[in-house]
Amino acid sequence: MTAATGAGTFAVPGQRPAPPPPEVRGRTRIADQVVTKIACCAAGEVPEVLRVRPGGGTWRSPSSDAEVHGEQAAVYLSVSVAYPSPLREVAARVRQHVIARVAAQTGLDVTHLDVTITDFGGDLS
Amino acid sequence: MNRKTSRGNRWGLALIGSVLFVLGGLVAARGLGGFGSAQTPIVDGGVRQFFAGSGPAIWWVVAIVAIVVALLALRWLLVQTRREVTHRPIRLERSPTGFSEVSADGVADAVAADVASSPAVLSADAGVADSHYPPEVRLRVVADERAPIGELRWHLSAIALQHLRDALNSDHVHAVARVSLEPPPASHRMVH
Repeated sequence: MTAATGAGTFAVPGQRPAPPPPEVRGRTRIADQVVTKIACCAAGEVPEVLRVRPGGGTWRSPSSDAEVHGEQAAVYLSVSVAYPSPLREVAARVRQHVIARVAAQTGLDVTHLDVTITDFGGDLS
Repeated sequence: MNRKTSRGNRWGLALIGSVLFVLGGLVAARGLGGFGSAQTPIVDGGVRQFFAGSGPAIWWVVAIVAIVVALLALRWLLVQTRREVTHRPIRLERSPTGFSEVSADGVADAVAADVASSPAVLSADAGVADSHYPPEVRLRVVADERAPIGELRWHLSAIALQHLRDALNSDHVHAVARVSLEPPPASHRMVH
């Protein structure tokens, strides 16, 4: 396309084609460590949970970890809770909260979640 | 080694000791001429005739008896490795989406700390006997010999074990406590 002006003519660049929608322009991958961090923070938000063991443990002192496979995640948590809180209820609350928080922040579906209470501390009362 | 193994060991050793004692007595009696002359062989013609007349089947019976004895001895050896406490985690619940468990050592430490919080207790140690739910707890308590035993008993049942029942959401938790009474350390003694 050309345009005429008083000084002469110049070429006007043609209209570029519309870019593809954002969701197909590449791929977003959420690392295992990110999910581990989110899960640990979420577990720590449960009132009875005193401490969440981060990654890097051994089989005798397990730690928290996560594995991402596509749109699904498996989470393994090791937590310390206040004594004497009801362990089954605390574990269920941790499970519920972590699954909801990981889904809200990453969109991943937590299909497997193990909760290990490694030790106790403090006094609930 | 747990208490069941110790009881089995006592019975096994008593049985073997009795058998050896009887055999030794028979041999001594034989040497002293109690069953005929000590110079004559024990495996005499009658014994030889018995084995010869029984045919090959008797040797199969001997072999089977020997194998059974060997298996019993092997089992006895293996049960020596059974321990009174476990370090395996206690499974709280299992679902298709994962499991929840609690460390047996963590439970034992929490119970021991609760027990040791009594002023009547000098030291306390705890272990979990098995990884089933609810677990059985073994307590070893060293208490002040001057402390009223009723107070210690109340503390165990109303504080330490009640906390464990609350934590496990269980009305019944089986516990075995071995209490030994000792004088308090010198620094705790009152000087008049």
